[in-house]
Amino acid sequence: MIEVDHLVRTFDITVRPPGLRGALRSVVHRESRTITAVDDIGFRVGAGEIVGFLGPNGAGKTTTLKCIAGLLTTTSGRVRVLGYDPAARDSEFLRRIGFVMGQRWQLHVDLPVWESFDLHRVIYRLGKQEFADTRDQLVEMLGLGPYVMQQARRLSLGQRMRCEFAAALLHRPAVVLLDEPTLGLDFEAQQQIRTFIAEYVAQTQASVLLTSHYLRDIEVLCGRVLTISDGRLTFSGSLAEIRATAGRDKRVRVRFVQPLTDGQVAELGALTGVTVVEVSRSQIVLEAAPGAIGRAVDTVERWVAVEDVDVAEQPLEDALTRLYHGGRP
Amino acid sequence: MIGGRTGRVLWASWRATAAGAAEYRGDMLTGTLVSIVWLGVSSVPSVVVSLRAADAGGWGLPQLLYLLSIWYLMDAVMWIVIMPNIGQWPEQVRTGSLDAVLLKPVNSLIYCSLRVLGVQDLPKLLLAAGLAVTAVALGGGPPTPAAAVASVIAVLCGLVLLWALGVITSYKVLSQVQWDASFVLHAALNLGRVPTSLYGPLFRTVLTWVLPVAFITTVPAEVMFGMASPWMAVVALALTAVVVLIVVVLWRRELGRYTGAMS
Amino acid sequence: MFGLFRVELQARSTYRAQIVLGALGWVVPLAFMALWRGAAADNPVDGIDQAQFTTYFGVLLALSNLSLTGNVVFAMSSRIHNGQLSVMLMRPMPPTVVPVLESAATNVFRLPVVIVAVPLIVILGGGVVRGGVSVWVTAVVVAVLGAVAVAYVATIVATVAFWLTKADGVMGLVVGLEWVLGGMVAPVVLLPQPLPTVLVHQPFWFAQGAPAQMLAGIGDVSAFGTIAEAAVWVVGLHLLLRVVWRRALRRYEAVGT
Repeated sequence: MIEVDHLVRTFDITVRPPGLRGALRSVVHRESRTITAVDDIGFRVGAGEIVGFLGPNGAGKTTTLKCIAGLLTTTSGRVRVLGYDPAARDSEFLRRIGFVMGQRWQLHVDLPVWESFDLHRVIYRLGKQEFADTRDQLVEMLGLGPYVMQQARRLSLGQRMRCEFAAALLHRPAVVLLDEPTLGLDFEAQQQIRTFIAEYVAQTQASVLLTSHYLRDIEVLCGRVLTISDGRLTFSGSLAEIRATAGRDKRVRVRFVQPLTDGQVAELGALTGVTVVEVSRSQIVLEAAPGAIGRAVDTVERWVAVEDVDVAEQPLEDALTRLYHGGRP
Repeated sequence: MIGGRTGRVLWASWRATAAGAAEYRGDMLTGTLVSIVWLGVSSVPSVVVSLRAADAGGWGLPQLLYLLSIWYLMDAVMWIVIMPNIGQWPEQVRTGSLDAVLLKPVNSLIYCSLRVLGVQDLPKLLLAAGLAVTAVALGGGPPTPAAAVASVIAVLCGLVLLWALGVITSYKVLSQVQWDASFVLHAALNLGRVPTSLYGPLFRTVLTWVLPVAFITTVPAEVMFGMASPWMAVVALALTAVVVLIVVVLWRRELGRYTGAMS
Repeated sequence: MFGLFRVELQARSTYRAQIVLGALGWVVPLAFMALWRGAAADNPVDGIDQAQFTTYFGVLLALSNLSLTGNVVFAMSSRIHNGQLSVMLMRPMPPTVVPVLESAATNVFRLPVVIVAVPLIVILGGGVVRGGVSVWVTAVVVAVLGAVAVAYVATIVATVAFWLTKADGVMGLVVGLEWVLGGMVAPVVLLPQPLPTVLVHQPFWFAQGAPAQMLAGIGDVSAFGTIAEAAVWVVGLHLLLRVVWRRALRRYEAVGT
């Protein structure tokens, strides 16, 4: 459904020296340089797939999404969505995609949400019954009932985001682009959005490309993940693959009553297979090979009374950080 | 260019903005009162000129007031249609909110330039019509029915030309947000407050064939009072068709260069 | 305050093309220049000839393009409406000064264009300046005092936005009034009595009509009397703004996200 091949997108930006002198000089002489926001990337997203698209700020995620939506033309390369060239802006293509941009509002601020939905019906040429069925379903799935008759400007951020979701999906798009859809939402609202996305894809077999800085979104929703850094794809695969390549080392958290001395911390870090990650007055976090976990905990118990020990997999953030910096996971 | 479907979408969009504007009743009322004051203020020069002099370059009070009514109609359309849409392009490009508009399956030029109505300024249309009728009556009416019809056609062409000028002075913001030349549109319309024939020859030429201000305000007024031939309405139609074609080509080209907000 | 002015200058340098090209964006005085020159084509109007009309409206062209009123009124009211005033209220400086500094920064880029273009327009239109250096100096002093007084008026009017959710209409009224009261539509001496007698004692005329009349040699404008009156208006409006602003802030509704 989404096909991207050798996509490149560059921008020309103005460069200006800092300070007042630089600003005034730039009035008569302006320099510019070209930045490559997306640098030769390629991937596929099929029907019924939810693919996570991760990367640090400024990596090229949103630019890629906008090229897929046809908002930006490509500098070079090929993008096909549902067989269409997005840059051609065919109205049939536009009727079949949805794009949710976190905190960029589509709803009319001064209208009750219900009225904005009706405007969508006209814009997307939806049949009245078909529209009513979809609308009612979305209202129920997203819990919009209590406030769908209110003006959009009077809604809280979470309520508004849910209404924006509904508005973006009223026409049942086959391809859905989600750019940080849970940005700024409280925990409960994030969960509701995730549940909704999963249900929507299960029902419609839509292709979804999702960017998010909340790992929980990715863990819950995405069967596959792409990572991008400095405009280049650094990984394509599952989260399990990322975790598996993170190594067998475990993350060990030991809580104690009395703080450790600097000397004790240094001695702990000198143990074979043990690395000190973080230390505070009440706990220490270690990275330890499976065989070294017991030795590390015993050592701490010799010095202080241990309240609690927690052993877990390496956090996904560490592996992703390596990917963000262009390294292997 | 505006098909039936696009027309239906526009109508639904205008209904929605009208419904939204009803939330600000206080401002609509004050806006109407202010419009009346503005019309009065705009009439002062013509009235004072008529009190102090025989005419201004052959333009007496009825002719000046009729021209003013056309100008006022154009100014109304500026605030009802152009400023709420085209006037917002730079900000919408900067914030990225134009993205959502461009993603709609509607003719992008029409939807981006016409979808919102400045409802609070709608009463200005009635004021303009009232002034026009009064001015024509004061002047003893048009010399022939053809002059009246031709004047109306020329006014309609003027409306389209105003819209086209609005797009031409702002379309570059799609790719270069700092290239907002909308002040040219405002300046051009303000220069059309008085007959372009009163300006010097060079200025007059620029205001007729480069920025078609003459065809927006002066020509419709000249035609109504027999100061120009009704055939000028045909010239206006031809000019309008050419300008609209240019607008469509420029818009399509610039849309391909759209950059939007960077994130 | 100078720090803020410097920052505004830097910000505006980004939009250099727009500002420079739009430096004479306000062209209404040119339109009225054409109208009154047309009226005076055959004979002077009440003793005012074409050359004087050219100078009068040329000066108004310069002054109106450097006017602070529009930006002060609309910038202030929009900040009140969208809640951005909250940020400004947290700063250790009067928020009322901010739109004034913003306008002043824009005028720094406009000034070179105005200084070159307006005299050119006046010369090409056959205008002449009546009087010597003292007239110039008086005109500048009156214009500056008038501009300050009008900035106070604009800020006081902008506080209406604390009471009306969207107050663009009222803001437009102020700009409209400026036209008549400032002599933009016609030199006030040409308006029907008793308007000329009354209108020469208010800030809008000090800011625009008075300096224009002085330089065009229209009417009999008393230098000392006008300067003194303008100064009294500045002091009085400053005191009034303090009272109005305090009341208005109590009504402030911190909206927006």
